[in-house]
Amino acid sequence: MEIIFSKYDAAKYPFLPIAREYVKELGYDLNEFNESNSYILDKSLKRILLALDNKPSKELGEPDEEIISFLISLLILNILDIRSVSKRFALAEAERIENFIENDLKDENERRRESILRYIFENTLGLKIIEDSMQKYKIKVAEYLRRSVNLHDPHWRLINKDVYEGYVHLEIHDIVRLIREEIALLIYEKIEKMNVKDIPESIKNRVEILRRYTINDKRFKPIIIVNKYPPCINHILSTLEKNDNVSHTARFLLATYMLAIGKSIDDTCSLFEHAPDYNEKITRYQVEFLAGKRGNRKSYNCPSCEKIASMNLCYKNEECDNIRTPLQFGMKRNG
Amino acid sequence: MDSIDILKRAFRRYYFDKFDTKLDRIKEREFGYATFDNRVIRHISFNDKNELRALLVREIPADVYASNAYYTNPEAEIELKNWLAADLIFDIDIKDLALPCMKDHQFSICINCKDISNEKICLKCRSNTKEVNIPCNNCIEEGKHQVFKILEMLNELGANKISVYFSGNNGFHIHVNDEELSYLNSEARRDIADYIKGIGIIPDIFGMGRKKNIDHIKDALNSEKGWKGRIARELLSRMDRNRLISSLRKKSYENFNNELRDITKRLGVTIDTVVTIDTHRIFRLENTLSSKSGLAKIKIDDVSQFNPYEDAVFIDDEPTKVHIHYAPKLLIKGNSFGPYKDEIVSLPLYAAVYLICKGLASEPKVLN
Repeated sequence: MEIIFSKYDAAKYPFLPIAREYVKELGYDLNEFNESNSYILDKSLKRILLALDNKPSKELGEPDEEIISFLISLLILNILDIRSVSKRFALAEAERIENFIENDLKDENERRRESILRYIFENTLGLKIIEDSMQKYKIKVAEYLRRSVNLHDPHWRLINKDVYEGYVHLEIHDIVRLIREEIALLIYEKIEKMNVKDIPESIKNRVEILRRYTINDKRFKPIIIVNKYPPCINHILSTLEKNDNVSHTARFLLATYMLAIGKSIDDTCSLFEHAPDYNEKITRYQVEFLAGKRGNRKSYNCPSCEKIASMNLCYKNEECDNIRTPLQFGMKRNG
Repeated sequence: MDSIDILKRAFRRYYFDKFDTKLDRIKEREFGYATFDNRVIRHISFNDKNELRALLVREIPADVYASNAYYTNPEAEIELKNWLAADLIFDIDIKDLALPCMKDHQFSICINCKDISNEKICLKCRSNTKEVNIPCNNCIEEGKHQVFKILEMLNELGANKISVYFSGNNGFHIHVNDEELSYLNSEARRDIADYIKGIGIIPDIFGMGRKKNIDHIKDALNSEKGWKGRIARELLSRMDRNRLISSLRKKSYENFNNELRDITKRLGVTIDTVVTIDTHRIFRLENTLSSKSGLAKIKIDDVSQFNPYEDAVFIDDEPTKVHIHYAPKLLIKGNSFGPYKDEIVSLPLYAAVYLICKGLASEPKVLN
């Protein structure tokens, strides 16, 4: 079946190669985007700022503007070079794209749905999805689990899904949510790979505006990793610092460890601000729960090294010196 | 000669004459073993099964283990092994089923005065006791029932290359050698373990959210497959469809949640989650003997016909004199033994080994 994609699709899915090909055909030169063309530059900057506040536009604008503002946004973020800003932009854009995919998968035209499945899911993400019945799709169990483990709501657990004949059967909404992080990663990699020489002053100006906006925002400050933490804890902190997702068990370990060494609930919550799916209210509830201030009022202990190893979160080094819990880290060495 | 010499003699003969294995990718696995003096040696690797057999014959281990994981450097320390993939494994321990018959065949024997009780500390001499369990037919059948349930669920997950093993003592092991599933991390394996155990279900999938969706409830009751199907069948076995729907209409979220948890716990399989989520575990190797029983961990072709006291006994029948402190009636290899109480008896080696491994017999002391 032939893949049918138009310039409107390139606008919806600007991370796909078709968007770049389309711009190439139009024959734009970067130097055209000087102050006399400030509209598109400001639109790009606004696109970034909306993404950072997690309020990306739901509407699809004029295709050329959509595609070009996306590419200029990538360029601005590449020059700004703050990983947490780029990651947050990528995730918000991925959420926006998710809505477009969801609508396209509801299209009555079977060829159109097939094009989305083939081009985005199969060719770009390497994920084979089969249309099960109208508005239902199925995915192999292993492919599902590889993605669902990063999603913490109980409805993602395998037991709460329709599982049979080797497939997880999902509604459209779930199938597109499942790939959000992968699309975000593709966008992030595009930001990283941008390589443009002779950047026009007009773009540099927008970079500076963005720098001033983000400089005092605590969401984008790097986490300071102190060496006194054991390697298992440092590993989780450095994962968070890269704005990558950390597993539920790793979050449990980090929070119980920090509470056990006497960190306040506020300080413990703030460590999760860099998580790509950070939600202040949920994080606070969960940390308070672990501290015994919610629910059954039971406080949770930091797991032992043995337990941490069984969860594949142990990164022990010689400094660990056969401690039994991460809380002993550093103590044995000192006597 | 003490009791351990009897065991070593029996184990050596088994490994020399009978041991073989079809274990694949031997080169990429880590092996380990426990000795009869309770040392554990791991991070060993072999090029092929001949090297493995040579070690078994030379060292005569009490228990032998192989990793479910495949590594580039299986001999290295855990951080340097370079994990490639791991079979998905499940451990069903009959003891965990909390069956009512347990009280009839689980007891404690004092390690010093050999008194039989149900105590952790001997009431007569204050020494420690050893817990002994001799699974009865009912236990084995219940274990098989768990195996059938797990096979049904693994079928739902589309798992291929499934092998069922008798664990060598008191349970069953299920190995899934499916490439797609072998790359899953611990978290994903935990989700599979929860699926198998029936943990984590939420009423919302039955339309019984905080806000009820009657159409969704009706739909869910039509389910035939997976967990929804199992639960629908269970609910419909209690009352007819119309009464069920009207009772669900009235039911609170919390009540239905509790009911669901009870159902899923009962319909789920009792497995040890820690085993399934551990991607670096060394697990008893097939066709090796368990020092807890002298029986072998063996692959089972026909689960319903399997009898461990017949099919997992590989030690020979050389007459062997043992001092039996206590033994209930046993049926091994079609021969009936016991009951015994503090007596010296000549038994076939396999029965003597079984009782020594259980801590119920020892080499008779020779008076000088």
